[in-house]
Amino acid sequence: MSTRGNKSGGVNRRRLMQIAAGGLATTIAAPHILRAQSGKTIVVAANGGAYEQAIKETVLQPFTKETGINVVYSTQNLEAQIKAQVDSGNVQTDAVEVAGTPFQSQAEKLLEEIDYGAFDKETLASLLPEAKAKFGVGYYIFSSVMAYSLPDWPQGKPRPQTWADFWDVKRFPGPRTLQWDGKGDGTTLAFALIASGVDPAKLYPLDIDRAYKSLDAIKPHITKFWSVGAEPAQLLSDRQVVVGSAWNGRIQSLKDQGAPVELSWNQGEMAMTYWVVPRGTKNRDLAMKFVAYASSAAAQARLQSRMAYGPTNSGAFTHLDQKLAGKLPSSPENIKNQFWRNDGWLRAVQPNGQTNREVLIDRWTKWVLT
Amino acid sequence: MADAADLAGRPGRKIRRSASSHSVLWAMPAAIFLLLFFFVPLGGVIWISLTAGPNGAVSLLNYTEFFSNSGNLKVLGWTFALAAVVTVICVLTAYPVAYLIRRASPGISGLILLAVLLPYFTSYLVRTYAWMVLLGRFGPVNQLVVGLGLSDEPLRILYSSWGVIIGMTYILLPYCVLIMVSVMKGIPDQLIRAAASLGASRTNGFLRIFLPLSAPGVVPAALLTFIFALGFYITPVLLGGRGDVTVPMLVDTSVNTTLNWPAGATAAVVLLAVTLVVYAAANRFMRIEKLLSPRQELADQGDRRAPSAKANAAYVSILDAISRFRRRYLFPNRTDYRKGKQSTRRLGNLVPGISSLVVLFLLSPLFIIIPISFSSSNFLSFPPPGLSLRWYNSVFSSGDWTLAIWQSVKIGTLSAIFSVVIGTGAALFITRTTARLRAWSFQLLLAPMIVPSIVGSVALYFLFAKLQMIGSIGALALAHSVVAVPIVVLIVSAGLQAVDPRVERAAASLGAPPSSVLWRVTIPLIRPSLLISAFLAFLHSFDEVVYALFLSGPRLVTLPVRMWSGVRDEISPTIAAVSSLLLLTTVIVYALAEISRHRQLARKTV
Repeated sequence: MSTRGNKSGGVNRRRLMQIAAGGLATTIAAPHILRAQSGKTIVVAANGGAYEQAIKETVLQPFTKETGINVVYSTQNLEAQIKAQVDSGNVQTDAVEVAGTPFQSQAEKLLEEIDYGAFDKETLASLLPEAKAKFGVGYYIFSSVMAYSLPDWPQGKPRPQTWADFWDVKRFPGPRTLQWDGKGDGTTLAFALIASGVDPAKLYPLDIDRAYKSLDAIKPHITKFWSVGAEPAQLLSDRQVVVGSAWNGRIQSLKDQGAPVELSWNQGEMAMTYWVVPRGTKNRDLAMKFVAYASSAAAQARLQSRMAYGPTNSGAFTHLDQKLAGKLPSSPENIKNQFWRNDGWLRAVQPNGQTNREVLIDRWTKWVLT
Repeated sequence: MADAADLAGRPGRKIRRSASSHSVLWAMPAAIFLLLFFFVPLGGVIWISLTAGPNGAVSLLNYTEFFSNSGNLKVLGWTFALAAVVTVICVLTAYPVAYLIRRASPGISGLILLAVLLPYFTSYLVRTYAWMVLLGRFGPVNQLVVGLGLSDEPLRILYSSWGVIIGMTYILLPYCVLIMVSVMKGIPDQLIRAAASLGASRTNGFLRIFLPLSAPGVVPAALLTFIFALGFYITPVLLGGRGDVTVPMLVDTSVNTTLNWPAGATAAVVLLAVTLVVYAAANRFMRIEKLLSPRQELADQGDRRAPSAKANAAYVSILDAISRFRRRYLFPNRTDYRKGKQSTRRLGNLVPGISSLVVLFLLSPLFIIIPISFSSSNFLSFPPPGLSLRWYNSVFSSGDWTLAIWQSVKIGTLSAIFSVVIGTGAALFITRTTARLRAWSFQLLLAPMIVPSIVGSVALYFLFAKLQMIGSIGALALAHSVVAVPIVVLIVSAGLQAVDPRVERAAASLGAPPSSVLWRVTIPLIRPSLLISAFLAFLHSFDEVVYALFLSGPRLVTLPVRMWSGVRDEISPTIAAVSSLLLLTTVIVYALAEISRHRQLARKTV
């Protein structure tokens, strides 16, 4: 004789589970269903924090409004994601903003050639020649400068003005921060060389041994090497360090918000960021469209009025407020005190087959741990 | 009864249980799942570390490179030293707290237990962030130090080794306390009362009875803490200074920044090897699964490997020698040895004293976060200059945060459901099989909990990169389930052992097929365990950072990943607001869970 329980009870429970399962499946699938209906989307990766907010409002949202292409923004592990995605054949990111085109030695394998045909004539004409590279479009010029936490340098107290001053811990004591140079940009090494007496105009080729000797001297006074753009800004505004190197745009943003920080253009290093498109992206044409839009004078002007980096499109200057000139790295009065990072030297290949950039990476990785 | 003996693992007559022939099937899903998504990926990491050069020849080149780099050796040594220091501090501070919880009145011990559990249920990213605020150059701690005149200049605690030690101790202390409490509960009160009745002072009662009985539990607790400390990644990154590099950080740098996967795999394997060696040592003292189970009844079953007779004799003779020394040389004229009562009373007050300091230590970071979330200033200044709700506003009005919360909820739910289903199956197998199989299965099932999460994350990262699943919800839910399954197995098997087998046999004797017995009798009886394990699996997934960092993609940003970016990129108190909301949610859910548990218990006793 069957002792199965109450039939209606069994059906009820089963029905309930079916409904629950269906509901769960729908809930999880819903965003995907919606997104599939809304049209084209590209994924764009660049820095986070204040920059993320600025670029979303001044470039990404107007782009979506004008072209109907949705943009998803990512801030995680930019270069690592490119390599991982291209190597595995699953490219999810369509455009990435990187500093110094770090993949120069493997550019053909990892990046798409920029389709300058997608750019309008006006943009092409007014873009700086260095910005029109084969595998990347120069986006803006940023400077690595010396920045201060103002409460630690009150009016009467002199501040370090040069990198030699920065290295002089007796006259200017206090905890410091410098950029973690593990990507081989050479910025921190350049500052170390200038502090040891090298003329900024005669920096390259970098004397690596001399630079590390100089760095050994300052190392005990470094609280932390910063690797994320917002870090030095945070360290300075929280007064964890009294002086450090930082990107000018981050410090300028903080200043605009009223934080007690300041920067100095003297002996700053200028470098360019580039938009690159990972090889094998499924949205290549849309990505090129985006990159072309971002390079237009109006879009660049809007972004840089928020971030204070130097636009690579000279046409942007006509749209920018004249008062902003003092805040931009590439304006005449600031450019004369700074030196350019030498991407060409970083790309050059040594007799042993490594690029100078790779040599710097190896050397830094060993030095920073000891 | 033979059945009870069987359950407790002591050799006894084996009586075949009703579903034992089907037992292995129950474990199959869990076994296959862990094989595919844990053991095989780990093998993949080991494989990558063994292949070097462009043609992928098998060699130990990566290892020779790793160990010949003096920087790496320094990092390895530092990771060890850090873990050792943290373990010692944890054990020394956890012991008095655990002792107090064990011996104090139920009211006080409940309060202290709550103070210990509350941080335990808070996301450890939030807890680390709290210490970033507290230990800053002009944070509350330094304000106190300079204000009290203890130092002219603010001390560098944040971005120094001490900051890392404090942060790690804070996160590991609840584990230590809970493990010790569960072991101490197995020491019967009568023994100490018996010692007192035979004339032992409180000190002697503690030194000669309680301490030796608790030692076999303290040692594996210390070893487990050491193992967890070795694998820490988030805390050294956020709180450490220039020199505070640990092996997990090396793994991350290699995989994500220098893009040298073989080097990263090598560092991961070295970390894994060290962890396994320490774990094997810990296992000799006590079956680890008893320690890791949050259900304290499990510990009462004993199965403690008693300290060897020789060790005991040596210890007792040392104590005897010390008291002889005291009597002969320090207090030769004293006839009434009970006069020492005063000193024992002072020592006795030390325990509540230390415990209250520890409770303060455990709760204060949470109390810092909440005021800052209401700060009107843009920056993390404490005390806040004014009050404002704008940070809470920005959390709810910004699409980023609400999207991140929603994605975390989705993944947490998926992971909880999945791990409860397959974990219950594994638990059914484990509780109904032979003792030896049970021991081995527990070890294998616990592996995801023991192996450092950075190693597991890198392993799954390599696997999912090949499968082109990085950034998919399914991948992250699977990854979270890998660590949730052991949690579920531990809790559900504890619950199953409380089920009276006679009820199941009665149901079978009335004609119910095994599936009915399972569905209509066993499962309802273990429902509290299922719910608790589901809750803990969800919570684990909701707070999980390391797997999420490796496996998230542009379209998949969970709440912890968003917070991680926020802690590094944003300087505003928005993170404090999110943290306070998380804290509030945890407290509410925990309170609800406790209330329903009490209500269930009340219903049962009625």
